Amino acid sequence: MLSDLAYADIYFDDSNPPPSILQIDGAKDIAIEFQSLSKTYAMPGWRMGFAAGNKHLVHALGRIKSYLDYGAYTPIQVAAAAALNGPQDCADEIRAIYKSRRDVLVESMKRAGWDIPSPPASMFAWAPVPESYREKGSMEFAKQLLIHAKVAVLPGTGFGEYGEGYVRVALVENEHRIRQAARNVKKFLSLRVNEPAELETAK
Amino acid sequence: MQTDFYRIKRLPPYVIEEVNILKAKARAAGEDIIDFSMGNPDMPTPQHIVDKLIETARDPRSNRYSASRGIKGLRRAYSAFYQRRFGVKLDPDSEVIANIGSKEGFANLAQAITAPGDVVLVPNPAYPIHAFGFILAGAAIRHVPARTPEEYLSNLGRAVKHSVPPPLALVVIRRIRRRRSWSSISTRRSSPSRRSTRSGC
Repeated sequence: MLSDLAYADIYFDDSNPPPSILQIDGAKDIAIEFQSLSKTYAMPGWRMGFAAGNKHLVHALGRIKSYLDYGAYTPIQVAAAAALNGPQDCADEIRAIYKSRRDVLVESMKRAGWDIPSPPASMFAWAPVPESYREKGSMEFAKQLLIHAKVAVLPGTGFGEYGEGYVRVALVENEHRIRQAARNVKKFLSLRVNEPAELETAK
Repeated sequence: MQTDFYRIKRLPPYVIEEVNILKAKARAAGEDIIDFSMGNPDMPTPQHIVDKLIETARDPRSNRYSASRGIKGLRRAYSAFYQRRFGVKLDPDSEVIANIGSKEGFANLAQAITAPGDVVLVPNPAYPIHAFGFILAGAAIRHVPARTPEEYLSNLGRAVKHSVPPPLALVVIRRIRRRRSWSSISTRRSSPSRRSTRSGC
C-alpha cells in the first residue's frame, strides 16, 4: 500500500491532525508512506521528500535510487534536517496563513454566488462547478473563468475522469487577491457566456 | 527516426499545460491573472532554513556527491519528527529514505516494484503521478472511483476481487473528513505534541 501524505501538516482543526497510515497496527507489514517538506516549510523547489515504512519497500526504493541518483545536494539535506529539528512555529505560521486564506476564499466566493465547501486540510479547495456551467464541464468552466474573470483554476478532469464536475482552487494567492478574484467571479457569474472558450481565445 | 515512443504515447497532455497556455496568452495580452491553478506555495522558506543552506554551501566539502538514501542526520531527523508528530517509531536506517521530492520518490518506487502488466489500484480522482508513475513503470492501472472515501472503500473491495492477476499494489490518498471518519480505525497515536513554542523561526 502506497500512502501519499504530502499535506499532513496543512490541517486546520488543531484537535484533529491527519494521522499517518503507519499508526495502524500491522501497517509496516504492507505500507509505505510518502511525505514532503514542500508544503510544511514552504520548500517546494528544494525537492525534499521522504518515504517511510515497510523495510522491503524502503530497500527496493533505495536500490533503484542508488542507480539513478546521488541524493539531494548536501546543503539542502542539512537544511531539511534543520527544518525538522528546529522550532516549529514557522510551520504553525504557514498553516495559519493557509487557514485564513481558506476562510477568505469560502466566504468571499459564497457572497459572489459560488458555494465552495470549506476544506478541513490541505492547500486546496475542491470546488463544485457552479450549476449554470455543470453541463459544459469542468474544463470549459475553467477556461471561461480564466478568460472572463481572469482567475486560473485547474479542471477536476486533470485528476481523472471522476474529477469531472469540480475544479481545484489552490490557496497560493494572498487574501487581497482572493477577494479580488471573488469580485471578478461575481461579475462573471452574472454574465451568461455562450461562446465556447476556443472562439474567445482565437479573437 | 521513430518518434512515437512507447511510453510518451501513454502520457496524456498534462492538464496544467492546457491551462498554462491560456494563462500565458492572457498575460501576454497584458491581463492580470489571479492564479489558483498550480499547487505552488508562494510563501518564503523560513529564514533559519535558508540560513542553514547557505552556511552549509560555504563549506567547500559540501559540493561532493551525497548519499542516495539521504544523509544519516536527515533520516534521523525525520524519524524523530515522525515519533513526535505521529507517535510512530521508525528505524532511520531500514525504514526511512530521503527522496529528491515526494513525486520523484513515488515514481522511483513504482519502477522498483512493478513487472510489466502488474495490476495497480489507483483512486480516481487523484494526483497524476499516482497513476502515471505506475504507467511509466509498465503497470496496468485499474482506476477506482473515489469521489468520496466511502465510494473508494466500497469500490476497492470489488476491484480487489475482480482484478486478475490480483493487484500488486494499492495507492491511498488522504481525503480528510471532519472527525469521525477516522475514529473507526484503531490507532496507536499518542496525542500530538510536536509544536514547540520556542520562537526564532
